[in-house]
Amino acid sequence: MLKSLFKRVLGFSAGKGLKNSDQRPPNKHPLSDSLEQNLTELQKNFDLCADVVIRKFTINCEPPINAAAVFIDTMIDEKMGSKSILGAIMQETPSLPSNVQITKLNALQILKSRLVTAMSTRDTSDFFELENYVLNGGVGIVIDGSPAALICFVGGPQGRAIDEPITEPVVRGPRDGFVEDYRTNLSLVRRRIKSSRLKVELLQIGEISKTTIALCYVKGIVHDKLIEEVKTRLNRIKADVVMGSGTIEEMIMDEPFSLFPLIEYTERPDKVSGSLAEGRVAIIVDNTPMTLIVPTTFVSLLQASEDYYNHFIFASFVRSIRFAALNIALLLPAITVAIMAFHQEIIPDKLLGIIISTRKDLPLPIYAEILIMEMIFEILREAGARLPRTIGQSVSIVGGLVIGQATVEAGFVGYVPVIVVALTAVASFAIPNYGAGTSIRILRFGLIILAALLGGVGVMLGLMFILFYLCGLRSFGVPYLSPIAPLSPGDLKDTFIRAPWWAMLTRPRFTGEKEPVRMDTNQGPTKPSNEKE
Amino acid sequence: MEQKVKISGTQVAMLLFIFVTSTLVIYVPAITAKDAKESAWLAGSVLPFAFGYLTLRVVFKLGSYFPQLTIFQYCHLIIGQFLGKGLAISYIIFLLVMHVLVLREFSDFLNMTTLPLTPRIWILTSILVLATYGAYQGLEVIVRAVQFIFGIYVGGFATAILLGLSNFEIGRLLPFMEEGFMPIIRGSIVPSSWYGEICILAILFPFVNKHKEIKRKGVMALVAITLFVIIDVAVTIGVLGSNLTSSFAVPLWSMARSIELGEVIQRLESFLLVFWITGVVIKTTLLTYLIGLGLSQVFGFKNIKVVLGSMAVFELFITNVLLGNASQMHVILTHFWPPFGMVFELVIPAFLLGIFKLRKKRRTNHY
Amino acid sequence: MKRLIRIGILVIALQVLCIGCWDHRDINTLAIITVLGFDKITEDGVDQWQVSAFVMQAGQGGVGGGAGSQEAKPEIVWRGNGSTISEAILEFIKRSPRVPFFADAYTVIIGERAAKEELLEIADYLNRLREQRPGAFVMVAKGNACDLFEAEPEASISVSRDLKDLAQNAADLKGIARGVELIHFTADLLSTDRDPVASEVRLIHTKEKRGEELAGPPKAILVEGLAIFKDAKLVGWLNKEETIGYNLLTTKISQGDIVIQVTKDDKLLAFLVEKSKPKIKANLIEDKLNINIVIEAKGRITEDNGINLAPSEITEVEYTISEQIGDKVMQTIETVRGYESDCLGFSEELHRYSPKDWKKIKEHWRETFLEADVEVKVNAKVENTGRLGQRLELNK
Repeated sequence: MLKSLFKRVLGFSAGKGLKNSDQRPPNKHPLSDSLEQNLTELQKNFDLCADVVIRKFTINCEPPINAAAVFIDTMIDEKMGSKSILGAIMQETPSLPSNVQITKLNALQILKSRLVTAMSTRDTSDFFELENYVLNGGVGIVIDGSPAALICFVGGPQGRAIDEPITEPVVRGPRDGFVEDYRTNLSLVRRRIKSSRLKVELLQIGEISKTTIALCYVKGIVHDKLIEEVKTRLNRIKADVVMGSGTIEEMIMDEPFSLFPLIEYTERPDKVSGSLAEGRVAIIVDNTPMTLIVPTTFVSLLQASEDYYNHFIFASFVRSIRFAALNIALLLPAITVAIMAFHQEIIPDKLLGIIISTRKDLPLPIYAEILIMEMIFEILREAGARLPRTIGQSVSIVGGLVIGQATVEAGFVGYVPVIVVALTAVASFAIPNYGAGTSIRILRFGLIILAALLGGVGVMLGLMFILFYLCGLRSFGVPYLSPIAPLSPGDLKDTFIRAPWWAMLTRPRFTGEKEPVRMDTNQGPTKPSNEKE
Repeated sequence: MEQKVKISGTQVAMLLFIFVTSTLVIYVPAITAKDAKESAWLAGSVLPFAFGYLTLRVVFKLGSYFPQLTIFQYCHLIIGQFLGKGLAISYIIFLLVMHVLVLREFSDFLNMTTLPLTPRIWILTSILVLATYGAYQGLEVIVRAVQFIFGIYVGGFATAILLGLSNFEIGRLLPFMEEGFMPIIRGSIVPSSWYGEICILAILFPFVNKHKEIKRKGVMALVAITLFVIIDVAVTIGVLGSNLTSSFAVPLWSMARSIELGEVIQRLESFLLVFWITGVVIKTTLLTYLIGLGLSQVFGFKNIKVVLGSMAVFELFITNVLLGNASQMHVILTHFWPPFGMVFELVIPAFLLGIFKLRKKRRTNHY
Repeated sequence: MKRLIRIGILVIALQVLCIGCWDHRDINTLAIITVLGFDKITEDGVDQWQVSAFVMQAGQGGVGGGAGSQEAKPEIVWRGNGSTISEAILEFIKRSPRVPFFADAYTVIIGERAAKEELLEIADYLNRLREQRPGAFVMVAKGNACDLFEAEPEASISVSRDLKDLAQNAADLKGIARGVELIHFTADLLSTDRDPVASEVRLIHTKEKRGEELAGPPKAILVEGLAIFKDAKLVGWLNKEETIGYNLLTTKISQGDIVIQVTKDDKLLAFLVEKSKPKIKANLIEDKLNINIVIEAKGRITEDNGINLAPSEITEVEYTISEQIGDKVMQTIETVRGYESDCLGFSEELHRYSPKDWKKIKEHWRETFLEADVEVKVNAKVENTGRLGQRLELNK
């Protein structure tokens, strides 16, 4: 009963599946021989599309053949198109050797192999494919009398320049981040993995948006089953629009209601390359710089690219601080409530006097205070995220300070909740993965309520509950909590500490099992021998 | 629930370690110190270890004859359909009793120490909800959770014991074996029945992927448990003295309370509580899982959620209503549980083994 | 059937929201009790318990450590009477809306009469109490415990902290008393071969302490000496000198500051014991307990009154010191034996190391203790003589 109510609220029964407005009809629609017919159909389909240009021209041959170029003028580089396609066709025909005659039958062939100087071309005899290519930024050349059309790719639309990744800055390390164009992103990955084993498979997802997805993996390291699984899941997506990688992420996750992120996303090409080398699969999505990496484990929430560029002792230290910050962000408010309301014996007596004097005439019990302050801070944080960067920061700081101070002075809440909530907020910013940060914020509230009910025992039970939940999660077949549980001791070198590079001999077990060894042994630095020359 | 789960030998060993020590370590010093006084650490270790080892051997032998079946399933293969089903049902009852006792110990301990006013039923409900959820997730999840908390569990107890060494006086462990062997033997009866809880291996046997490993890892787990108990009892007596140990209901708790190093490190008992809770939660979750498994194997129930849910409610009822107050619980733990437990842990499996061997001999004699 | 289950679950869930939590106590509703005092008094001919407690009042004008001179006291005294301890406590709790919180009670003071008559009951109550700290100090008051609650603090903000510091520091440093923790006290109480001790605390007039008329509250607390028990009853006291002997006999001192006066050649010098370690050996020779004690003491000389401290003389000085410390210790033992209580651990030593011998005398171990042969040997070593080499010579 509840389930059907739930479904109705979410709109599940609104209709079964997509309407077939843009779906390809079962039969392909071949191009016709006649140029006029093709052009009429193109004009009909692209009616009222002001940026679609149909440029007619004639090929210089005896007898002259009519042709037309179809393209979207905002999506191509016009200079290059003019030079390498139209210029090449219209002006270079005289330079053909005399024994080559262009006729209606071989026009396409000759154009493709001798005249058109664009770097990549394709040909197609299907109408919808032609449309698809044109919409993706290609120039389609339709020739009278030819049942096939030639498609050339000349440059792409204007995009953002490669810039430092906003969400993941580093101090020491490369500063190029992904942009919206998937081709540029692919190039950024390619230049880091210059191996022919890096395979790239293209898919198009989304009925209206037809977003290009590039699937990258290093053949020979990756489990073949993983690739198959990813492809199956991606092909299963039948949505109309795929705006960002978030849509895809939610649709291919193992557990749709999982609180913790099961798929990682990043803006950094070095992270993607590192993961590919470990045997994972990267999904580059057009029009968004956020690239998906599968599979993901809990430990990757604690890893940041910077760890790999800094010295390993410092990196291990920073990782342990991050882990402590994770615990603080999750547990500190709940533990405060538990201690102050249930287990007052833990507080040393001198501190007890101070705390009591600050809480003397406060109206609310401690859990209510902490919940209210948490709410206020969440609102502040959301407000800060909407505003442009510079103003946003000052608003958060000012808001936090002013509101916190004012409420304390007025006597609504005590000092302790404000301190605790501020510490928690700061700690939660130390977690590199933003998705994890959000899940922790939600879990924190649950733990506070449990702490208010049962004290320390409640917190512990809540933690065990989260543990059981995490243990049951899998991300594309990899248990979420590996390498801690199930224990694979060899992989622990990259979890809470970062082993020096010369000790990272093996790939993580679950993803890189096919080719476990990645480095020679005995790579550790050795002192120069002490023999006198 | 009978997914083809495969767990490794190490995981089983860790699981058994936490399973046995979580209830053992809190109550053992008091019970053994009453009879064996200063030599309680001997009482809690030598004989119970032998008992546990025997149980391990017998259960392992039985399991190796039926490597794919749990004890519920091969009972009736050995002694016939009717008797076998009855024995399997009685094993389910045994697990049920164990579970109920553990739940009651847990809620009593919490009531006594940190949550005195909370009605028992709420503590029990919260832990049962958690246990049912964990059991529903399956054995793999339980085992992974064990691996995750194993380090914290051992580390927590080790810290408490190490810090307790600050008040330790080795003289309190003397005189040694003052009254001879009899008190030690008397004191080791109750711990033996707790060590024998390792017999749940009979049910876990088919889930382990390398059977030969079980024997070795099982012995390692037993040795670890024994060491743990020895250290625990020895340090408790060394800090509190044997008379005090036997008068406190939960001596480890009191010992943790007495740790005071300077102004900062004091009142550590709440941390000990935290680690102990994790161990007990694992124990109840595993027991819930095993009972559910048993019920579905013996009676053929299909819908596991219904089974687990109704079982939880049933146990809630028993724990709250049928068992009496704290002193009655103490009597049950010291007088009724040991013989009951030992029968199911060692006697019945040995009996089954004996009959199976006889039958095999008779069959080979026929041909 | 399904509906019933659903309704049942709903009811339980609603209960969670309605009832709330039982153990939740807000921190400012706590009445933090820092010192407990037990007395047995006779009122109208009826024996009654009187329990007094120091309750912390936080935030009266000053916060925690920033207290200067304040008008309001940081602690107030509550007192109640009753026929059982719990009833007595109820008497004073009922007058306040706050909930009593015992987990910070660092000190327990037992009145003289209560120690003589009802010690076991007090120990039982304290150990059963859920929140009681096992590390609390047990003290016996000379006189009534409730009088001590009239005292005013000298060194710290509150009397309770004074008491705690005195007990801890006096024990370690000056040797004139000993901080006995509840858990050791109870362990000794229950043991079959040893008697417990507790620190003695009494009220003194400040004139005794300061020697001045002004500056200093009218009543002050002093922790000095030990109270000795036998069979769970208070039987006597050890004064300052005897307590020093007791400390030297029973504990390993590592941060001591114990001043011992030694007479040599009719002149007094002060020897400061810094480290000391006793070794007790108990043997049973023909039904007579033979105790051999060796004490190793190391310290320095802080004050000499003209005694030659040249290296050649030092050995003689050490010898004198050892002898006199030995005498002091013997005196302690005699006093303790006079009270017929074995709080020094002699019988315990025998029990632990020679259990078979213990069995022989188990029935009458106290008598055996009284008739025991005790031999004390002290090895004192003077490590250095302070900053001065020999002494200040007046070269006139």
